Amino acid sequence: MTDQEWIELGQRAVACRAWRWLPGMLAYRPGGIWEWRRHSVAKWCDSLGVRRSIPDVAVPDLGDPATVGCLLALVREAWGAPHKSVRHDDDHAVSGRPWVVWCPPRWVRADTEAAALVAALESAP
Amino acid sequence: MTDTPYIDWLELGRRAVACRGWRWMPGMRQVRPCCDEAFRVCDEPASVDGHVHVGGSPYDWTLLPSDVVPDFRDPATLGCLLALVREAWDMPRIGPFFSDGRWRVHSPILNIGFPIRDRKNNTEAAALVAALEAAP
Repeated sequence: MTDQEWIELGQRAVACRAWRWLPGMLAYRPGGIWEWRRHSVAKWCDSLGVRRSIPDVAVPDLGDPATVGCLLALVREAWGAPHKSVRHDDDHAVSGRPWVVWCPPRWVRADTEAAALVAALESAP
Repeated sequence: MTDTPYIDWLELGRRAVACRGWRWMPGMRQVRPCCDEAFRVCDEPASVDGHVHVGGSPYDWTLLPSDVVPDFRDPATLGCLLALVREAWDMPRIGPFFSDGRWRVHSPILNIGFPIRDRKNNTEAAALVAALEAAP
């Protein structure tokens, strides 16, 4: 994925009704150089210190394992399904969308794990 | 997962830290059971000479106590654990899933599963720790 595609994916996640920043998530300003880690419910930290807030335009870094773990938690919460998971389906690798999440009544498919989770969050009831 | 006793979470964390493929990653939550302390690893590098950057300032590093363990009740920490399992097995598509009342870690390539040592502790985190322990 290109940088722009990652940014757009992050923007789609933030636009979801069920979205919120969870402790452990990593955020960045598109086009900027700063990153902020959600330290706790009311605190962010970066290499310079602690801050109470981050720019409104900040998006989640969906290449960060901790952030993806949090995104999965949001999907489970939104669907009320604590056992929901994202899987790689080799049978659909040729389609270019092998990552799948079961979102009744259909499978949500995407080309990356993060994109599948964002699509699952978007389709939450 | 919240039904799991606290002591089982601590034991799971200790087992994970003992794995060869283990390392602290940014975003992980650390708990210190002896004094009810908790830290969040904030920045890279996550660990240098036994110290971790817990945020606050460039100098806000703390010597990692020997009894600190990862908190696998925390979603960010669980996401990092999955990343470590994938790295240890060199399988970027491996992942946990729930089937027939059990959590398993499944590789679509090798069709492997890992036994969960403690049947009572049937959690996603336990399946991932078992996979990390079994890594080559």
